[in-house]
Amino acid sequence: MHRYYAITPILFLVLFVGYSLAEEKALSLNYQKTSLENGLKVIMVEHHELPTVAVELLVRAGSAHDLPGREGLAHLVSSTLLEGTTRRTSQGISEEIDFIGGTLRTDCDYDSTSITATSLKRDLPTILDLITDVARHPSFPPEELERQRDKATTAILRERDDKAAIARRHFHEMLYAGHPYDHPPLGTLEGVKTVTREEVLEFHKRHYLPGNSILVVVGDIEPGPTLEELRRSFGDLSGEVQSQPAPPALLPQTGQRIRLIDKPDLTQTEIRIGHLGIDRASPEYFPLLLLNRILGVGPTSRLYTRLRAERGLTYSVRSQFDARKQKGPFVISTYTKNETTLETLQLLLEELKRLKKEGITSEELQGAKAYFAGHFPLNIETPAQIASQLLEQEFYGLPEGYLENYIKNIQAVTLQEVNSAAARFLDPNNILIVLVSKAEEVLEKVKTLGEVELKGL
Amino acid sequence: MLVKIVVKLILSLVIILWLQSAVLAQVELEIKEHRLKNGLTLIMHEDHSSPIISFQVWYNVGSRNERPGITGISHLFEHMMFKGSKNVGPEEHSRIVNLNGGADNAFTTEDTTAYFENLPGSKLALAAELEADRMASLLLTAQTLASEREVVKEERRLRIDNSLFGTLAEQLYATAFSLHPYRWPVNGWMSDLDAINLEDCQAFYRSYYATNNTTVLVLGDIDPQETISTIEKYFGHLAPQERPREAIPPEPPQKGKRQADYYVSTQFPWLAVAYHIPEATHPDVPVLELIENILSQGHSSRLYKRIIYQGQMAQSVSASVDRNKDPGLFVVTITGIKEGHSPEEVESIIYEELERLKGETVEERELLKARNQLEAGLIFSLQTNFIKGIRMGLSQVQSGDPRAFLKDLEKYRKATSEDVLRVAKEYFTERNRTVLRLLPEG
Repeated sequence: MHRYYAITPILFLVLFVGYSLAEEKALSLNYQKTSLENGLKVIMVEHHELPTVAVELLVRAGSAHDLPGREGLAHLVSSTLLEGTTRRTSQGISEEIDFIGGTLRTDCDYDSTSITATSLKRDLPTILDLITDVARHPSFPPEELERQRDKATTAILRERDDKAAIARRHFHEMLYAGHPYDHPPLGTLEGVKTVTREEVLEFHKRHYLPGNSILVVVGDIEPGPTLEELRRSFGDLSGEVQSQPAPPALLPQTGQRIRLIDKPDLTQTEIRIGHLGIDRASPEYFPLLLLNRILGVGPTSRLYTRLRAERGLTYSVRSQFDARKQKGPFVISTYTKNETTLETLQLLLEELKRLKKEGITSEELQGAKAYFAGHFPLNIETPAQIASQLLEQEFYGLPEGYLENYIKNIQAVTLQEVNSAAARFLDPNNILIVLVSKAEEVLEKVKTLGEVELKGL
Repeated sequence: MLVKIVVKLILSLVIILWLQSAVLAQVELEIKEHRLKNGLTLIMHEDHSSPIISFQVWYNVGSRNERPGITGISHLFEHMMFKGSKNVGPEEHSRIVNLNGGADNAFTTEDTTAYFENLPGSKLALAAELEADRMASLLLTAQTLASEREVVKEERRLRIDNSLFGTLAEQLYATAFSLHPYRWPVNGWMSDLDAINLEDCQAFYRSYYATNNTTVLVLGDIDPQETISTIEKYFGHLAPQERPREAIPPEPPQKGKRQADYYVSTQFPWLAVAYHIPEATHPDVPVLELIENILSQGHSSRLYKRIIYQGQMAQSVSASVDRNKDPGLFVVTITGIKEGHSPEEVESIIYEELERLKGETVEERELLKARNQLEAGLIFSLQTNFIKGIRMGLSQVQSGDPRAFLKDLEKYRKATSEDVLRVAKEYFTERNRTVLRLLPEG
C-alpha cells in the first residue's frame, strides 16, 4: 500500500473555454485535467470569486457492484468510511470537520460512490487530509459498522411512510428484476442484514483504487501547489482494477404491467410510468434530452400543460431519461388526488402515444434548443456545477471537449432525429405502471386499463 | 412555485466584510439602492463573473396578512400570477422566459411573496417587461381560478396531508400559536382553499400588488444606470396603492406548557419540542442560531451525539430558528423514533441538554465551532446570484434592510458563553414550551 511511485503527469491540459453565445459576452472556464501515474484522474477548477474550496473523490463502486444477496453493501461501505480510520475515530472525524465549519459526506449511487468535502480556502489541507484518510485508511470498526447497518435498516423501514420512495422501489424492482439496478443503493432489508465485515473490507480493497477513481478539486485554489498536494496524498496508492462480471442483459418489458401498492391512509395517488431508457454514452443522448424536455420538463412541457395548466390534476409532473452506465429508466413521475387517478393515467398514455406517432413540431424543437443554449451559463455558474459536468464527461467516457461542444451538439440535432428517437425509444404499449394509493378508492377504475397486480406495503 | 423556502442564512450587503474569528476571510459584496417616485424599491448587486442575471420581484405580503376564511390566499394568488396578463397569455410568462434561456418560479412564505427569473444578462428588459405586465394588468378569471385552485389543493395534499414533515409542522404551529396568523400554514386550510372566490383575489391583488409594496432585486451582469432606466421605463408609470391597515394580532405570551398528540399512519413516532422566540431583528436571535448549531449541526453536536450516535434512538435530529417579521419558534425535531425507544425517553434527553445550556457555560472551542459553521455557511451561500438575491430579499423582508445580516455576523462573533447561558434561561422554560408528537395509529 505504501510503495512509492514517482509521479509524473501523463497528461496535463490547461483549458480555457470560450463561448460566444449570440448576443452574449464570452464566457471562460478555467480548468485543468491530468492523471497521476497510478491512473488516478485529476480535475482542478480554478474559481477565485469566493474563498471556498470543494474536493470530491468519485469511485466506480456503486450499488450496481453489490454482491448478489448483499444488496446495500456498497452503501454500507461508503457510509462507514466516515466512522473511523487507522488514525481517527468516528467522533474525531466529526469534530474535525464540524470545527472548521466544513462538510464531509459520502453519497452512494447506482454506478459510483462519491466522497465530498467543502470548506473555506484556508482549510483545504484539512479536508484533503480527511478525504485521503477516510478513502484510503478506513478501519471499519465493528461497532461502527453495526451502527451504520442499523441506520440503513431503519431508513429502509421508514420508506414505508414515503409514497415516492415506495413507488421508486417497486418501479426498479419490476423494471430490473435480476439485474444490479433492481434495488436502490440503500439496499434491501435482507441484504443489509447479511453483509459481513469481511465483505465490507474486501469491497473496499477491490474497488477503492486509483484506476477506478476521479479526484476533483474546485474553488479558490492554485493548481500547481494543489497538484503537488494531491500527489503526496494519493500518488502512492496502488492496486489493479479487476474486471467486473458482465451484468445480465436487459430485456425490454413486453406488454403493459400495472402494480398497485395499497397504502390506505393516502388521499393522493403516487404514479410512476415508464420503461427502459438509454445509457449515458448513447449517441441518442442529445435528441432524447430535447425530446424529454418537450414532453415533461418545466412549465412549457406537454405534460405540464395538459395535466396541470389545463386541468389542475397535479402540482407537478416530470419525465426523465435517467442515463447511467447501463440503460437507465425512462420514467414519468406525478401524483394526483385518488379520484382523478384514472383520468391522469389515461392522459399520460395518450400523450406518450401521440408523441411516438406524431413526433414534435419544429417550433417545439426551436424552443427547447433556445432554452438549453441560453441556459448553459446558468448551469456552470458555480465551481461545483462546472466540476460536476467535467466529472460526468470523465466518468461516462464522453468525448473530449464535451463542455466546449455542448451548445453545438444541442444545435446540431434535427427534427428528424428527435422524431425518430421518439418513435424508437417511447413504447407506451410495453410499459410499467406503478401506483401507490388507497386501493379501495382506485382499484376498480384502474382495472379498466388492464390487469392490476395488487400488493400490500 | 414553492411554498416557504427554508433558508437558514441571511445576507448582507457590505462593502467589504472581514470575518475575523477563526476564519479571517474577505468577502466583497456591494449593493446599490434606488427608489422610484411611486415607492418601488430597487436593489442592485453587480457581479460580472458570468453573463447572467437574477431578476426578483418581492411583494410585501404573505400568510401573516391573511385572515381566517381566506387562509392560503397569498400562495394561491402566487399561482394566479402565472395565468396571464394583458399582454401575456396564460402560462406564457414561463414559456417566454424558457425560450430566452431562462428559468422562472416563485415562492410564498409567512412574510413575503417573491417571483424570479434567472436568465442571460442580455434579457434584463424582457424580465422587467414581463413582471411589470402582470403587476399592472393580471387577468383573473373564474376559469383559471377553478383549475389553479385544484393545483394548489394538490400541492397541499403533497406537502401537508400526505407528508409527515408537513403534518408535524402544521400541527405544531397550530398548537403553539393561538392568535397570530403564524398559526395557519402558508398553504392554507383545505376548506379555505375551496372558499376563496374571484372577488377575494381581486381585492388581494389591488391591495398588495402595487409599486409601494414591492422590492425589485437585480443581481449579476448588470450596469446599474442601465438597470435603473429599465426599471423606470417598465415600472415607473405604475401607480402606488394604499396598503390596507395591518391588523395582525400579536401572539400573547404563552403562560403554560402545551402538548398535543396527532395520530398518523407511520411505524415510528416523531417529536417536536418548540419554544416561542422573538422576531428576526431581536438581538437574541443570532445567539439562538449559535445554540441551534451547538445542539444539532454536524455529527459532533450535542443532540446528535446523544440521541443518534450514542443512543441510536431515532433516525434524525435537527433544530431550527425561525427568522420572521413577527416572533416565531425555536424547534427541535426528531424523526423516526426506533422500536425499543419511546418519545418520552427522547424528550427527556432534549430537556437535559437544554438544562445543561442553562446550567453550565459552553466552552470557548464549542462556541467557536458554532461560529465557524455559521460563517462558512454564509460564505458558501454567496456562490450564485440567485441565492445572493434570496438572502438580500429575506433580510429586507425581516428588517427593512438588505444589509441587516452584517450585524448578525458581528453578533455571532461577539456573543459570549454568558449570552448563551442567558438566552437559554430566557426561552427554554417549561411554560414557554409546546410539544407535538406524531404517533402510530392503532
